[in-house]
Amino acid sequence: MSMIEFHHVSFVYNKKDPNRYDAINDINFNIEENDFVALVGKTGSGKSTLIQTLNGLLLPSKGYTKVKDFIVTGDKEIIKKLVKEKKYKKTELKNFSKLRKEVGMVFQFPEYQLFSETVLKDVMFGPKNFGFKEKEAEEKAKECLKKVGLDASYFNRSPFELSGGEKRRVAIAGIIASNPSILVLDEPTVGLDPNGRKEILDLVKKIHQEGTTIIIVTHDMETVMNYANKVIVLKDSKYLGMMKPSELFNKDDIETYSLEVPPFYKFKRYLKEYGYKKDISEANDLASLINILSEEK
Amino acid sequence: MRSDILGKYTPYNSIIHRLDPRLKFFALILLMVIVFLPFGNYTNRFIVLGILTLIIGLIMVIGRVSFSSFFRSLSSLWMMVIFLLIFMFFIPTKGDYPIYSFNENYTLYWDNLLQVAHILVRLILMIALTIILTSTTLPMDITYALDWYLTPLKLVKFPTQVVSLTISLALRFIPTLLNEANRIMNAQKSRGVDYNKGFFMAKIKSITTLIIPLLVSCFSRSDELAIAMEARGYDPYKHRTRYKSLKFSYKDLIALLIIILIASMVITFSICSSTISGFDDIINFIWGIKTI
Repeated sequence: MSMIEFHHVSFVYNKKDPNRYDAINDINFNIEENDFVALVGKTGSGKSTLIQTLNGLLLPSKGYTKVKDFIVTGDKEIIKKLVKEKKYKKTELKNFSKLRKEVGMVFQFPEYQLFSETVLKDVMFGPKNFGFKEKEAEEKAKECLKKVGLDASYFNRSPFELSGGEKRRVAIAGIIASNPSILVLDEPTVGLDPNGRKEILDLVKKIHQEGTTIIIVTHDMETVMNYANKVIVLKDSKYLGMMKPSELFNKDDIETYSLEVPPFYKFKRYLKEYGYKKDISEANDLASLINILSEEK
Repeated sequence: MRSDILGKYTPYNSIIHRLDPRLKFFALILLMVIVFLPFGNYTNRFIVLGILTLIIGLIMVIGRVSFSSFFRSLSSLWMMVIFLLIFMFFIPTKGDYPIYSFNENYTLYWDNLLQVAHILVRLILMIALTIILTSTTLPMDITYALDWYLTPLKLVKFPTQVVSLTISLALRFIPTLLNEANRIMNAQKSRGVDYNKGFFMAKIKSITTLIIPLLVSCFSRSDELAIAMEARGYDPYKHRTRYKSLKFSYKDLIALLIIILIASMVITFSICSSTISGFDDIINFIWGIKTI
């Protein structure tokens, strides 16, 4: 059974307004447990809207999102049907606090959500809201701060005096401290320098290796190539497909998806265009490509 | 965070949308003033307010103002209703129409209830007028109108351009800040904050999680904006020209005459009801009902 299922999910902003906007349209796909999925597509394709249906921040206008046993929908007919079939109570379909504990969500510029007087208190805030006891929350917060690379000297500092990258790490610690089984990140590396970006992504990779399912929204195809094991493409509010990153970047018609090809795959294309005959489609990293090229020599 | 709290601009092409923003601004102020005029007894007050409600309702229909967003804006008045009711019920007053006498010292009068209703109707009409202006006029057009009204102050060297810049920036950043607030609220909801649950203290605690990050973000944005303006050589005291110039057409003139006609009738009614003795008897005769 899949961990996350999108069933004919559509979402409309400003429904009864001249500014009406169909952000996502009839989306259907599943995500398995412990996947590391990248969600890509150009600006306005519906990525951020789609991920917000995962923890009930937005309720699909049509269809439903299923996360484990939780259903997220604003479709009155589906609610009526589920209640009639006695599968769910109406209150269960409107209360998302348990779901939000399962689905941790890191938004763009997460440092803007910090508000407590110390770093430790800020990280403890989420776990305490989700029912952790004070002591338990403190231990979990300390553990997560260490995991994101912030030692004990940071615990009693004000989050507002940290650097941008450090603030972001505190914000991520604040999410993972609630022990979510799914971590959703909406462009977590926006505005960071290359080192800061790598540190955050390596941290996400580490969290994934510990058994958390990861969904990352990104415009950076290098991130998709180096970290994700599956990639989902959205275009003009519609789902175009789910595949391995190498499969996507080897496509000849990738331009139709409005995506930027990573330099490594561009280089492979140049080789082909300049008449290199040997099959290099299987080479999905620099090492394997060098191997193939050196065999030729 | 609701983005239509004060009537988000909706780009329809109604007659009200096309009117000159200066006229709309003038009409807003004039109608607000006449809503708050005295009209003598309660019968007169509610009859006039009823007629004004119909006129304002008609303007809302013509301007295609969303009634659902109007009613949502009114939801925040509940606290005020409760406060007013408590205030009016428990502060002893004197009236002509008792409902219930608790003891010799304290009697509850219909006048108390009518007073609450009167205050509420006036507030609702004021909100409706504001929503009509903001739903049918672009924020920048409101600024231009305000700037035009401030022009005479230039004669006394008042820095009107600085005031209009401040207002235009404030209006320009309302949607940005609402988006920011929405983003912060979503982030905090993901950390288990429920903004709808809990009583007074819990609400204050949850609002803190929004206010502090929002203030931090506001200060950082205002800093960035000031630097960006300085970098582009902005001088608030230099003479500035406008890309868009406002034009007062014959349609605006007709609308202005209608508004002035309505206002004059209501003002005359107000003066008569409070100065002419026996005016109530005439009104009684016309309406055919007993006034209270």
